[in-house]
Amino acid sequence: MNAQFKRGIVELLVLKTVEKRPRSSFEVIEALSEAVDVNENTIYPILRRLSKQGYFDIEKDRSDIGAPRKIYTITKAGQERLIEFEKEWESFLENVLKILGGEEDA
Amino acid sequence: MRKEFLTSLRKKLDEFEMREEEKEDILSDYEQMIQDGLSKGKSEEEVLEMLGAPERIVESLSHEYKRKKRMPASEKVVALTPIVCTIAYIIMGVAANLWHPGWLVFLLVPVMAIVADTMNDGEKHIMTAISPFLAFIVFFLLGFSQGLWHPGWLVFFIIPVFAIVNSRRSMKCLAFLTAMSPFVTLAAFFLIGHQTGVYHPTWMVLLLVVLLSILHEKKALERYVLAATLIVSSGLYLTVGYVYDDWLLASASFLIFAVGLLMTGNRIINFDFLDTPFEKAVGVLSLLLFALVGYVFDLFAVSWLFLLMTPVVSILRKEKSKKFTAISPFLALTAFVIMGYFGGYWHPGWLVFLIVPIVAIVEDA
Repeated sequence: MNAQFKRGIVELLVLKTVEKRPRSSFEVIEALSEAVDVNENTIYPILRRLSKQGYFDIEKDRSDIGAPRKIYTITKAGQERLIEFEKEWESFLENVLKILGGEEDA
Repeated sequence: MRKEFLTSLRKKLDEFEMREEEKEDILSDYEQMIQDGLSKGKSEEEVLEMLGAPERIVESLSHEYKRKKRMPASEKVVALTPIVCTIAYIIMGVAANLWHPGWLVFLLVPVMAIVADTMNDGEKHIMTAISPFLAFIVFFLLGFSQGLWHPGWLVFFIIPVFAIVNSRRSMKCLAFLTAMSPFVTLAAFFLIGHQTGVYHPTWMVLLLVVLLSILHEKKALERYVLAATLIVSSGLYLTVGYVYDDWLLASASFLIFAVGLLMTGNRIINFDFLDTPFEKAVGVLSLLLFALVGYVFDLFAVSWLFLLMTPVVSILRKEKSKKFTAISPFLALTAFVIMGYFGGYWHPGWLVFLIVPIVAIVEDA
């Protein structure tokens, strides 16, 4: 599968995973790698990029050991982006299924 | 294992242009992810496997950052050369009062840049690239230390000679000798002339260029006729000249060579640059002027400059762009020899060679 296309899907999945509930980077990676066959090393860069774009808020959760834990929470902009993304994806899937189902053009 | 992972990640991140705090942030995130994974009961191995190899992580991150341009060792040397030259210049000046010609060390700056550039491009002709600077250095050293501005300027012939030597693999032996012959014979002419004062009949070494060109003739009969008539003409010219001390009469010997040319269809040696009637006429005219001015005014030391008319005219007619850059070395050489021979200005005369890069820059702009 085209790497850019795959990255687009992972981006959607990352947004959706964080939308469900605030999570740490590791939890996002864990959730996604368990559910779909995804290249783990692409998740963190996407998470980082989406945060920079303002789709996630980061809260630092001080733990006793090691570095503070970053918890990602989806922002309003992130939710809007997710809705837009879902619509694009649904429309894309619909068209793909149409072709696979053998429907003729009107 | 965790330490190695983070060290490896840091090294990979160092290859990209990013702020130090951003790098630290990424490393801290990974440290935290490892900790997070361990606290969830996973082994270190399992966690690191989940995070992926540092190379792959950085590969994914690389879409966000620009890779640092690595400065090759050769470029580092080039960057350091001006500093090293300045230090060397000051030391030579202060310690040995060699401010002059110590300034010549600064010629190493462009030399090093050219060497590095040539090496980076995988170009093997380093000597050709640096030959102009080597020539300048040797020319100045000969001039300043020995006063040998003339014939020291002959060292500039290493520029075309190195270029020809570098191209020798693609040349046949005869083509190589022919290409080298103008420079070797001119150098011989000036060195013998300068040492003995006998420019005439030393100029006859230049006939070797003609003889080698004749050997390119494909038809054997024409080749033998032209070569034989030229050799006989030359021999007779010297004999008559020395026996009767009448060089004008002696020059009639070359009528034999003229007959040879007529017999072979009046084909003057087929230089590539003499392929139009006009250029051939210029070639003949330059030969006549060379002989006439040389003989009548006893100026063979400079009359050879007329021979440069042929390539200059050829360049002006054929080159569509940068024609003045191409002819500037000929013009500079002419001005230099005239200034040196008639005015004794061999020393400052080298400055005229600066017109070559100046014309190149102006025409390039």
